Amino acid sequence: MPDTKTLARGFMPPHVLERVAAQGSGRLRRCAQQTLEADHWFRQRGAPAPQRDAARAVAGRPDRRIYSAENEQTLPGRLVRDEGQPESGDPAVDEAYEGLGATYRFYWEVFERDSIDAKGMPLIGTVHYARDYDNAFWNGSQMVFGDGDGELFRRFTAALEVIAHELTHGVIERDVGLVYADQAGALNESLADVFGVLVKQYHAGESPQSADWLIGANLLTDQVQGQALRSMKAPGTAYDDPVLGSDPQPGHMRDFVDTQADNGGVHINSGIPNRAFYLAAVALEAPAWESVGPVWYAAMRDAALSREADFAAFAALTLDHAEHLHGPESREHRAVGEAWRGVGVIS
Amino acid sequence: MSKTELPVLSGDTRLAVAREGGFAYLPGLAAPREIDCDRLTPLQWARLDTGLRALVALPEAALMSPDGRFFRLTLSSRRTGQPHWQRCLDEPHAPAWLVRLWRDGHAALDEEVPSP
Repeated sequence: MPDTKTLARGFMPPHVLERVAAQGSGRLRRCAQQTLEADHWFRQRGAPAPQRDAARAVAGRPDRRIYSAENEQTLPGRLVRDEGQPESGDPAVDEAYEGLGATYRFYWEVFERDSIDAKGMPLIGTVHYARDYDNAFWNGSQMVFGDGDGELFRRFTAALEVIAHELTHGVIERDVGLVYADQAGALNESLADVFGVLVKQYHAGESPQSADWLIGANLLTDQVQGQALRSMKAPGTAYDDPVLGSDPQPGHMRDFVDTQADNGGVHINSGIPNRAFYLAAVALEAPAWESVGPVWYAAMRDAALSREADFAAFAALTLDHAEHLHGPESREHRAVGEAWRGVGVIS
Repeated sequence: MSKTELPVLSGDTRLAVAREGGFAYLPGLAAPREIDCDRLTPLQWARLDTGLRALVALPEAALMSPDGRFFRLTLSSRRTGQPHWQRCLDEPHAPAWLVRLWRDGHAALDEEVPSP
């Protein structure tokens, strides 16, 4: 990890960056340039969150608005598909529309939650953000998806769990506001992955045993040596590529990465609670959205969960809710305890 | 380690520029670009000093935006490895010269760097 300690030892693989910069027709060079010049984002971050539109909103039905930034960096951009309109023929637009709809349906049908704020908040997504932009993010009021550079990454709307992950960042922000750093940040990222993958499993009707438990399975191009960006089943095995490097996620507390990088390892150490959820889910026959999904959801919304919560605090809450929802010493209660013990969070 | 007062650049100074954050942490793309001052021409050295002084006025990265990206800049001693100064800038705040420096290395300093 490029933290201060490793910098002090002279850690430096410039050949990697130079290969990225020189690859192909120079598209990655342009990608880096144009991505990094995406300077409208910060101004947009301060925009107020959209409120329920009483004239349009009906509980149980999403209010989607898909915009195109038309490869510029202005948010939200031009409205290209409003709620109820037919397919546009643009894959990114239609994937965003369908993905937000699938995520809304999951939260409504499983948890009776009406959108991000539980009050019918419109679901706003912008696609074609900047040019060759290889990222997706939640900016506090909407979701933003890049097209990818086409050489390393495909468009970020291609993976339903990525769309659901970004929407879930909005849910987490509303419900608990977990600090986006260190263990609380890794827990934030893990919850976004957990509900992201649950949306994918719910949409496909998958059992925990048959699901792939991959995050970003459709994002990497054939040129990348990897199957996804993260694996909840086997953290640290999603990719091993000359350009991207090796998946750095640990799956157990003994391998916890103490680093300044990545906001204190939020996308790294999230592998530990991710694997705990996987272990709990596969220990039970029921679909994960019926067994441990509600346990994680209740723990996330518990007023006792602080903004600075660590893994152990969250684990304790999941045990409380597993007992409350399924009974003391129920199979679910035992599975949750075994899962957290399995990743070394509790003993 | 200071986050505001820029130390005087010397022949022992090394600048590391890393891009971090995003939907996933990708070690290969997060690896820092390193610039050793003693390998710079006098003009490149002056431009680096100018550019870094301009960065001091920019806000520190919020580090709170889910999946947002940012740059981490660290000045350290090549001899001891001791870091002297570090700043984190949100990706949208990164000036074009810094992006070029991360992408192309010290050759980016062959181009003009805006004054503060």
